[in-house]
Amino acid sequence: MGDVPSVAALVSAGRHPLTGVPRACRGDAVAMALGRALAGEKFALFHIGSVDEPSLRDYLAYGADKVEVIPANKGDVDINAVADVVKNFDIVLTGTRAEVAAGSGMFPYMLAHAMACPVVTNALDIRVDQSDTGTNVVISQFLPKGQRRSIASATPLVIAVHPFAAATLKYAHSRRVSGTINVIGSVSAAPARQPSWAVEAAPRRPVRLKAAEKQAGHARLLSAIVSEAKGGVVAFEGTTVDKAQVVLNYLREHRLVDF
Amino acid sequence: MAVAPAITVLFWLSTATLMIGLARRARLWRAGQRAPVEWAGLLAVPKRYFVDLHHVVAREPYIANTHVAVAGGAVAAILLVALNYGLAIYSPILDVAIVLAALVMVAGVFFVWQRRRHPPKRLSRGAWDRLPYTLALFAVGLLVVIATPAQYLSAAIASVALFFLLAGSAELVLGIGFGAPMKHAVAGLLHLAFHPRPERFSGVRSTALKPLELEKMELGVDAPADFRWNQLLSFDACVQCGKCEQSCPAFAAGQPLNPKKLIQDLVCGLSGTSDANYAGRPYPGIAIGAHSGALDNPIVPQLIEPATLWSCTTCRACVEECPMLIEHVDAIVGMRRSLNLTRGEIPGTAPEILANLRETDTQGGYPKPARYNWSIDLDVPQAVPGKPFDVLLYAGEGAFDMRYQRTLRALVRILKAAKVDFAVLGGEERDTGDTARRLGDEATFQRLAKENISTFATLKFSRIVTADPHVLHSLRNEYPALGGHYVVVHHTALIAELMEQGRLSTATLTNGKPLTYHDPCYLGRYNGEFEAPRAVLRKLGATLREMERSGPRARCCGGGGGAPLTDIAGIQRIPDMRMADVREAGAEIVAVACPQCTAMLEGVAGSHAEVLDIAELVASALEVPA
Ligand code: SF4
Ligand code: SF4
Repeated sequence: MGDVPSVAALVSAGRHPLTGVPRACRGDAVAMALGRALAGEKFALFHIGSVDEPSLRDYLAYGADKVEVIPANKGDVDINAVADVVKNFDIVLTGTRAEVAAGSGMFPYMLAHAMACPVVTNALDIRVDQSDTGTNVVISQFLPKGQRRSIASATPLVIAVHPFAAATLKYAHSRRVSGTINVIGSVSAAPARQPSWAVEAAPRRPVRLKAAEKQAGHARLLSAIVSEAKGGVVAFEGTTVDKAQVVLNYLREHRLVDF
Repeated sequence: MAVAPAITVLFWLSTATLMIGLARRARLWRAGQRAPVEWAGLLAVPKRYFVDLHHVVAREPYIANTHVAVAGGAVAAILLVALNYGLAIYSPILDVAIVLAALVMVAGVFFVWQRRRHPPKRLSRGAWDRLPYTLALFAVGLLVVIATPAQYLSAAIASVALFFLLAGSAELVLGIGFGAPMKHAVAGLLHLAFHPRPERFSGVRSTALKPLELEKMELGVDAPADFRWNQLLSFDACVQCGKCEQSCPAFAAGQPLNPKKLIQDLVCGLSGTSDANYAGRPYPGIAIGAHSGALDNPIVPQLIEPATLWSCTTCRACVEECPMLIEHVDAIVGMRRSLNLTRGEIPGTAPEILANLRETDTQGGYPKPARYNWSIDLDVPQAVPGKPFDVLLYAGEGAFDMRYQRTLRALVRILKAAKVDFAVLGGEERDTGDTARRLGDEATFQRLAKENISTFATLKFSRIVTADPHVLHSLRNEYPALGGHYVVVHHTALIAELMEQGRLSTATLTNGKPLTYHDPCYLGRYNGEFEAPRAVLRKLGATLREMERSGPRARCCGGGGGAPLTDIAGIQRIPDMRMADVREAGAEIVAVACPQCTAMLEGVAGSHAEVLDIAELVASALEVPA
């Protein structure tokens, strides 16, 4: 094994959340960019699904020279067969969540399970240290509220990359048309691993009433550079009915209630 | 008379040298791509020189007259020498004519010298500073050799004079071969003959970018040799007068762009040299001497830094001012195309906006049907196939901006008041692709344009009206190359027309505040529409206080060409400078006619003149019929 680890990235078919237009799944594209930066020549990109998937060209545009497609029908993926294809790579990268289908985020866990290797999710940054004892991968992991955790692991391992990972995506039309999409092997169909979820309507959350700011655009821009105390009334005086009246007046004035 | 044969020999020697130099330079130009050119252009050179070029030069009478004297005198003298000495006629009458021509030239050279003593900063120095001396050597040498009667012409004087003549001629004939200042004369004339936009000479404002043939993997300009050959030739025509530099808003804002330096860098690129000999003002913040190029080497970043290309607002002020009719914007967009299409390297928020355009057909990443949210309560008819109507209102990206929605609502009120039969596209409206195109994303532009063209094909209307000059420009001037031919009018032109026909009754503006009008680049310089907006304002009873830079020479607001997206830092902001122009004109209202200008000028910090679109001014003066 040379100095540079071999890296595979598994990417999914992306769809724009508003328009459904096929595109590279943002998180997956970031994983691909990290992988390319890490492994250079020893990087490979895989997609499990259809060769005709329109979003694959986007990955080419974002920098992949070629995409290797493992043909499979939607939802019928034998995870063991996928593990078979990528088992010889030191690091296997995925995104965090697909933009289509269930988007459960389970794939990296299932893959690691099938490969019998560790999985690290929400990776922001990946560093590879080579030492006499072998390859050590140091991952900086995303935690909420700006916290980060550093995790070290031996290879092989599966890393799910967080969409905020620092990778610049450069979209180039020429790569989109000149890159290649190959079919390799096939993954035998297996019973669907789709989680059997019950679908129910999301409960409505209470909406906080907020007075619309009635300011011209220029005034809003000004308020960004000039600090000024926001007005407001503290109703100390009077009975509870009087105080309620103050609130009601406010709501009426700002048309937040219509009675 | 022994000097006469010497002049004959000198003449033919010079001619041969010039020809060899020209052949050497032409070899460089021919490294460029093929371009359709008309050889008949050569015949048109005198007209193009005396009318079109001189029209620009004459804006500065001092140098125009000086140039007429120097160049006119020189050309006349050389032609006469060719006749009298080249053909060995040796007629004394022709000698008198030569002397007269040389005298005119000497007079002109005097004024060149005068100006070079305290040159404006925009002029390049270096080799250009020696011109008054070498040209004087030529004229004086010629005078002495020819005007001195043979009996007084001692061998000593004759050889000194001949030496002068030789030195002066060297400046003239070696220029083209060695890329020295006088190359502008030969390259300039050839450039006039083979100009990349010959339409310009028939009075057309030729401003549309040429489409790339993407299927043939035409992906913009990576190395100088990717320019078309006549573009390479055009760079050689530059006289380093700095008129472009002086008018460039990005340069004035301290962004790393100077159109003169850019053209000179491209000259370095085509001749395979470094920029060390450039003797003008640099790109602000980028030192001279560290960049060099070669015909087949990538231009960015070895020759030109990417920030230089991304600073341009594509305002065409440089093109408007260039006496040599050089097309800077075509060159800049050509290089941007390569950066965009082959490397995907675009700064700022531009990559995000371009991704939005690919994925949502809007710049802001909005759902398309939301574009007409501002008109929900206005009962605006929506275009449906099979139901003909007169005017298609195309809102553009400005429709998503809350400030600009006020303008659009005002426009709808006006159209209704004038009983115009109009409709909007609703959820069918995509971006025109204009911003993508200026940013070099030709693929996205062409896709959007083709899809819009097929949407238009399902509808029956007679013309398109838009309040966005960028939309106007692409629909009117750039869609035809892709098969879409439409009558497109700007809202100010339509309002002027409605007023003319008496279909709008307006009161005069009541507040009487002093008002000025800011010409949008894409309406003015790109489309030549300066009059309609002013006519509308006059109809409203406004007294216009014109800014110093208005009309064809108006300063850009900084909003064009995707510049707000690439957002290259300078020392000041372009809209701030424009707002200072407004203040200087003593205006309290600045009338605008473009969503970009509105946003840029509204965004100026601190107290400033009120920014109102012409549609808003008209709507506020509408008289509702009783
Ligand atoms: S490009 Fe045109 S305007 Fe600019 S310096 Fe050269 S000749 Fe002058
Ligand atoms: S188009 Fe405008 S911003 Fe661009 S180089 Fe010319 S003058 Fe400068």
